[in-house]
Amino acid sequence: MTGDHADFFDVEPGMTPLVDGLGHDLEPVSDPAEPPRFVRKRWGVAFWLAGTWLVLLVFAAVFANVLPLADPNATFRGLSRQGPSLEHWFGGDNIGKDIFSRCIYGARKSLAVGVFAYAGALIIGGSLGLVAGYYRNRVESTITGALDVMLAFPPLVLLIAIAAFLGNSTRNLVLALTILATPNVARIIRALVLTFREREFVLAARALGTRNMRVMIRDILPNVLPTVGAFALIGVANLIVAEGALAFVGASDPNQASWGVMINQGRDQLARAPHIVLFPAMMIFLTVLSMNSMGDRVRERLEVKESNV
Amino acid sequence: MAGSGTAHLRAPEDTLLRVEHLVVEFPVGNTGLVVNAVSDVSFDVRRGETLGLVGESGCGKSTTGRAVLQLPKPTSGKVLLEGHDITASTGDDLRAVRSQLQMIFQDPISSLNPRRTVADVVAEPLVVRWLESFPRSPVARGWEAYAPWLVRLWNRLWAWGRWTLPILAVAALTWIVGTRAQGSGPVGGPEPTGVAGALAHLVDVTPFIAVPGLVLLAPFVIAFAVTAALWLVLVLAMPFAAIPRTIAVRRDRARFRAEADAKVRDVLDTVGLDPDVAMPKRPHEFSGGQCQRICIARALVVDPRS
Repeated sequence: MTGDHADFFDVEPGMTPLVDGLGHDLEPVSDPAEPPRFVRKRWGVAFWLAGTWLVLLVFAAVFANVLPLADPNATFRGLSRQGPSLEHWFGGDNIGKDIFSRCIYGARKSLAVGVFAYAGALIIGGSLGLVAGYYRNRVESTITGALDVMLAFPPLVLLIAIAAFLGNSTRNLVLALTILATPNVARIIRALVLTFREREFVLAARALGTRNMRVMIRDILPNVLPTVGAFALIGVANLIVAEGALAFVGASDPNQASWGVMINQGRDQLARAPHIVLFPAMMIFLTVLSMNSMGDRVRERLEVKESNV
Repeated sequence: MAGSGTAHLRAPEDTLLRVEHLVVEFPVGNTGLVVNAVSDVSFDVRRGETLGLVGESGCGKSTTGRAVLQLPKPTSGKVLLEGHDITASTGDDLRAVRSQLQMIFQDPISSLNPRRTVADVVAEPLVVRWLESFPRSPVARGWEAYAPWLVRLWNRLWAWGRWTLPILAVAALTWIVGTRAQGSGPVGGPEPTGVAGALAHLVDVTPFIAVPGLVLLAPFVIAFAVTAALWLVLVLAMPFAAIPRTIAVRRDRARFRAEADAKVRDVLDTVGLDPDVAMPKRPHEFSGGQCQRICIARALVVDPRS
């Protein structure tokens, strides 16, 4: 900034000094005395609302027997197709059963089906995905090929076929939904494993002479699990919706109330008494919305954490 | 000393590591072409010696180092560790050899598992070696002897049957379905038409293909059934057979923990990290240089040959 160019860089009175020599004004520098503020990342109101709803729901479902609820299978005189009242909060269904009580008892089946089916899918699909992602040879092509076949099979046909041949018991429903969710879980986990298997700590573990099994369980699995946890919330939500759809086509045991079963039983009264369908549908809506928003939030947080690991 | 050719190599008896004609090639997609990452490198290292490899970026220095560790195995060439050729070893032997050769990686942060504490990371080589000291169950050893054999059998069957099998299977299926279609029409009634009719006509010809097809298929079916049964038995028996080993490992754990803890503290002290501060932390809490020290500690903790 001296010599020949001195005139060009001279600062005239009233002009911002050009410091970097390229003609850019420098950004105003904040007061260095001010300490950097650490903004604590918040979960947000939606997250807590969703969490409260889920905790309440699980609590009610677990303690449904103890809570002062009407018998979900008893018919009440004069309650048939009646709207909400103080005594029966959500009103009565087509034959006079208490909808509120059935919604709570239905939560048991809906949640249990979703959670158990996804847990089964995590165990089967998770180990398949882990092995496929880690080995990357004929093992992988065999597993992914089998998974592609499973994915290509129309899900509703499979579910109805299972219900038709094995019966529509709740156990078969869980089995069918497990089969349905397995390929998706396996693919997610395989993709996650692929990102970690190229990392140098896996190579380092193998250079130590570690067995492949131990590398998979001790080095890769702990890195994959947190993300899977976030996906699991969304997966369970999807399965709850799937259970509803199945109940709607009659593939869910009608003697055991679930939200889907209730919607199915109320659908022919939709014009006369829409609340019969509305309340269980609202339960599904709120629960799935809560799970999805919580899952998304958790995943966002994990991604942020991942970047500074 | 390093270079191509073997003229510069010294007498084999007093060298610790001797690498002869090391070649590493990587395939380029499915084109059949290869990249010559390392071509014909020979060097040797004596006890206590340090060898530096110098070269421009991408010339294969790291690949040479990895090929010595057999990660991945070199395309050709010999790696002799105290006169013992390790390119020939596989499986358990290879893993045992790897733990005598240690590697310090270029990127110190990426080579440490972010979810494990420094104490765990540095103790890991000791844990691996300790676990290896317990003999594996006979079922597990049987599995290890049997699995490669299964793979070889499968490869051979596949190489032989990859073209013939599908054709024979289709022929056999046509025959079975065609026979059924033929039988399905009413006796003396009109001939079946459409697909069923076409199959019914085909069936007159297909036995000549289908019967030998079924005969040829039989060994595959039997081989598959037998291997599947064997596999199932081994997999089901494995957890039970492993119980005595697990008990032995559990019994020895407290002793090993104490011993490993002392070694880890010692080696962390050697690389200049305070064991009490460093051990419970995770890698991301350290700077790059400190992570490099942790990597060095991990390599030193098992006393690699020098």
